[in-house]
Amino acid sequence: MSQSSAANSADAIFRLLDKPVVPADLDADAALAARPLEQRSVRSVRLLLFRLGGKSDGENAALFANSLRRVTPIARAVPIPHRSHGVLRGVCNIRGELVLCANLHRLLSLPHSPPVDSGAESAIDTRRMIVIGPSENSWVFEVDGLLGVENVDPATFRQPPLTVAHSMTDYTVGVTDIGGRSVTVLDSERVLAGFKAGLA
Amino acid sequence: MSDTGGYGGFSLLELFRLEAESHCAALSEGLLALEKGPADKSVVEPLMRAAHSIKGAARIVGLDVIVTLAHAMEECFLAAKDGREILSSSRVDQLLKAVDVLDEVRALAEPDLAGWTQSQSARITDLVAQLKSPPPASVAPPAPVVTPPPAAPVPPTPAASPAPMAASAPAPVLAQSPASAPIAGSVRVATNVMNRMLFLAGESTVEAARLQSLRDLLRGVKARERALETALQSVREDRGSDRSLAALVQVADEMQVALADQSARFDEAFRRLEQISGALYTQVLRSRMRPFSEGITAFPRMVRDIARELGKSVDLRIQGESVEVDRDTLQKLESPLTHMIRNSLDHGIETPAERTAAGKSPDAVITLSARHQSGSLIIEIRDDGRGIDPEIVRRKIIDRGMVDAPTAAELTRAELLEFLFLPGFSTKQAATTLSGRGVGLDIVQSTVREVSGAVSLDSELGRGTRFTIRLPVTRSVIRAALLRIAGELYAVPLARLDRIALIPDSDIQPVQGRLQFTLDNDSVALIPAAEILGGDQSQQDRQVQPAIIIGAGADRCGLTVDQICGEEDLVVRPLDSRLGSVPHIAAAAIRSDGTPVFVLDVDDLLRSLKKTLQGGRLLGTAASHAAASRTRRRILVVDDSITVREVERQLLLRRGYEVDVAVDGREGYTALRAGRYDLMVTDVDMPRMTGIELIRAVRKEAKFADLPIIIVSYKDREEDRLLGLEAGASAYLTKSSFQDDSLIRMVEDLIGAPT
Repeated sequence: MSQSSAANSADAIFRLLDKPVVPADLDADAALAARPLEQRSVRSVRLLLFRLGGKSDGENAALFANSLRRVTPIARAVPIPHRSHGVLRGVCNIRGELVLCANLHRLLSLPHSPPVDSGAESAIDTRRMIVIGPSENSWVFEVDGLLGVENVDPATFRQPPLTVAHSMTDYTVGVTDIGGRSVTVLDSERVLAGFKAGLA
Repeated sequence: MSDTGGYGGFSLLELFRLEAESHCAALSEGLLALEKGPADKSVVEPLMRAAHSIKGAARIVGLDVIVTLAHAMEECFLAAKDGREILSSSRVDQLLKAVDVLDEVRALAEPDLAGWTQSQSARITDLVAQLKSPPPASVAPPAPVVTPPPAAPVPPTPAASPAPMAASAPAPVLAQSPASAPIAGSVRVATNVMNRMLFLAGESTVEAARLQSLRDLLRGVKARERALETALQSVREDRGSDRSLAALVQVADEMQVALADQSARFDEAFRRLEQISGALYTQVLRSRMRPFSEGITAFPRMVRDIARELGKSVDLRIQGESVEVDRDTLQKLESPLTHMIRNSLDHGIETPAERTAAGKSPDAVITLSARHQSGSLIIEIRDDGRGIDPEIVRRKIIDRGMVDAPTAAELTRAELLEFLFLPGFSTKQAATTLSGRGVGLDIVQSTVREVSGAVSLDSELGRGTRFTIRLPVTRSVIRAALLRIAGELYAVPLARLDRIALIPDSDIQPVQGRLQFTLDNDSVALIPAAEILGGDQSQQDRQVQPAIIIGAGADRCGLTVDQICGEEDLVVRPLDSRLGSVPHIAAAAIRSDGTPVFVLDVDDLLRSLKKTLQGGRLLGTAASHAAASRTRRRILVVDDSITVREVERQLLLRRGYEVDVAVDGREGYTALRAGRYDLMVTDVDMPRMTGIELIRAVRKEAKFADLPIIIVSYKDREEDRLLGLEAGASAYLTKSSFQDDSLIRMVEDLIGAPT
C-alpha cells in the first residue's frame, strides 16, 4: 500500500468518521421534503423512504414527505414509569423539546432487534428519528435507516398483498415499487391515531 | 445573589417604562377593539387594570401628572364597565390621546423628564378635564340609560349589575381581549445579562475552533502511527537491524511526545468548553427567572397608601424574596396578587379600634410569601384580619339560589369558601371603591389558571384569611438529586428530601417481612424504589445501600435506589398533556447533557408507600426471599365497595388462599406491579381507574400476559361480559357467584388449590 493511497483512504475514513450523523443534511432533506404539494407536479407525491428492520430482512416503508416535521440523529427514549409498554416507548429530547416516542415497529407488528454491534459497517449508525404530527400531537419514532426522498405517482399505489400482516395494512395507503424495491406507503394520520391509541 | 435576574440593574424609572410599555400596547389594542363593538366586560376590565397599574407605577416614580391622567382613564373604564357610560368614539379618542401621552413619557430620558412634565402639564390637565367631563355626545350608539357621571358613584348592587348581561351579549370581535393575547413568548433580558450570554457564546465558538485544530493535530498523530507501522514492517524485514530498530524507537518516541502534548491540549480544551457551556447554560436559564421580590416592588407602597386611606394600620411582610420565579408567571400574577392584597386590606383587616376590641394588636399584618414546595411554587397571602364567616356565605348561596337550603346545610367550611370563586359572588354587601370593582375572585382564579395554577382560600373567623396560589413547577428551576432506579435516571427535588443515606447493609434489618433501619433512633421502613416505579431492581450484592429518605414524622420512609448520581439544577417542564397524570411522576426535565429525566412526585410516592406498608405486604429483599419459599397461592382483590371486597376476601381466605385487597383500579395496578399474585379478582365500576382500564393496562405488560383475571360485577348484560372478556379478563362472573361457590370453583379452575 503506497503512502499516498493510504493517506487518501485515511482521509476518506476521516470524512466518514467526521460525519457519523449528518443533521444539517437531513434537515435540508426534510425541509425539501416538507414543501407543499402545490409546488410539485400534480401527479406526483413526495415520499420519505425508510427501512424498518435489518438491511436484508427489513421492511421498506414510506411516509408522505409533507407529514414530516423533522428527521434527527438517534435519540434515546427515556421510558415513562407505569406507561412505557407496548407502542409508547417514552420521551425523547428532540432539540430541546420533549416529544413522545412511539415504537413504529411494534405498531406495525414488525420485529425490532437492537442493531448488531459488530464489524466496520455498524460503526456508522444508520438509525434515525423521524418526527411527525401537528404540534399538539407530535410523535417521534425510530427507523433503522433512511433510503431517500422520491417523487412517486400515487396512481402506481396498489393494494397491499393479502400475505402482508393485517396489522401493517391497517396503517397503509398502498404498496408501490421504487427502484426495484417494494415500499409500503404508510398513512401518517392512521399511524398517529395508532400511536395515540397506544397511550390509553 | 445579585446576578440572578435581569431587573436588578434597573432604576425604578426604567421599571416604570417597562411596565408602561406593555400596558400601553394593551390599552391601544383594547381601545381600538372597544370602538368596534359594545363595551364587553372582558375587554374593559383588562383596560381598567392596565390604567390602574400605570397609575400605581407612576405614583412610585413620582410622576404625579401621570397618576392623575391614569386615574382619569381608570374612572372612564370603570364607568363603562358599570354600564354608566357607553364609550363613544370621541371618548375613545380622548383615551387614545391619553395613551399617546403615556407613550411619550416612557420614551423620555431621565434628565428630560422634569422639563417635559412642566411643558406638558397644561396639555395633560386639559386631557384629564376632558376625561372627567360627562360623556361626549355620541352619535352612533343609542345610549339606553346614561346614569350621571361618576361624581356620585352609586355602586350597583351585584344583582342589579348589568355586567353579566353585557358579558353574555355576543361580541365575536371582542373574543380576543388584550389581556389574553400577550405579545407571544418574549422575554426581556437586561443588557448586561445579554452581553454575558453573547460573550459566552463567542467563547464557545472560539473553543470549538480550537477543537478543529486539535483534530488536525490528531491527524498528525495518525500519520505518525502509520510511520510507526512502516518502521515496524522494516524491522521485521531486516530481521531487527540496528538501523531499523533505531528508526523504530525514534518514531515511537516522536509519537509519544506528540500524543502527550495532544492529550494535555485536549484536556484543557475540554475543560474550558465544559466551563463555558456550563456558564452559558446557567446564564440563559437565569435570564428567564426573577427573584420574587422584583415582581412585587409596588406592593409595600400600595399597602401603605391604601391602609392610610382606610384609616387602618397594616404591616406588609414579605417572605421568600429570593425565590426564583419565571418572569412570565410573575408578570401574570401581578394583577391577581394586587387584587387579593386589596381584598385583604379592604375586607379582611379591621380598623384599629375593632382589632383592639377583639383583643388583637391594632397593627394588622399581611404576609406575602413565596416558596417552592413539592415541586410547586406556592405564593401565599395571609392576613390576621376578621376572616370570613362561613354562615354568611351559607346564607348567601341559599339567597342566590345557588344551592337549596338542605344541601347548603351539609356544606363544609372548605366547600363554602369555594363559592367565593364563582363569578359574581361577593360577600360584601356594597362594592367598595377599593376591591369591590368587580375584578372579583373569579377573575383572580381565571388569571391564575392561565398560568396553570390553582388558587385556594382558607379562612378562620376572627383569625384571618389565607389565599394560596399553587403554581405548577412549569419553568420553575429546582435543585434536584439525580437517582438511578431500575436502570433509569430520576430527579427528586432536594427540597423534598429528608436526606440521602448510604446505609451499611449490616444496619438493615428485616422486621415482620419488611426491611428497615434505624435513623435518629426511629426505625424507618426501606422499600426498593423499583418496586414502586416498576422495573427491575438491580440485585447487586453491596455493602452499602444507597437510599433517599422522604416524608416526615411517622410517615418517614426510605426508598432504596441503584445509585445516587449527584445534584443538578433542572428547568422543570410539565408532562405531555396527552399522558394525563402518571403515577409518581410530577414533571419532566432535560438535563444539561440533553437527556430527558422524570421528576418524581414525592407526595404521590409517599401515598403509595403508605398503602404498601399498611397493606402489610412483604417487601424488599425479604419479599423475594419469602417469595421463593412461598407455597400458598396469592390473590389480589380489587373492588371499591368494602362489603364486596370483604366478602370476596373472606371467601378466598376460607378456602385457604392468601389475599390482598385494593380499593380501586389504580391502587390495584400499583399493588399488582409491586407484589406477586397468581390471580386477580376485580370489579368493573370503580373510581380513578375502572376494572376494564385496569385489565387493559395489565395485559399490556408481558409479565402479566398470562395472569388469570376474574371480573366479578353486578352487571350481567351480555355486552358487559363481552367488554370484560375483550379487555382480557379470563372469566366474567356476577356477584351472585358469592352465593353458590362459582367464584371459588372458577379460582380453582384457573390456578388450582391454594397450596
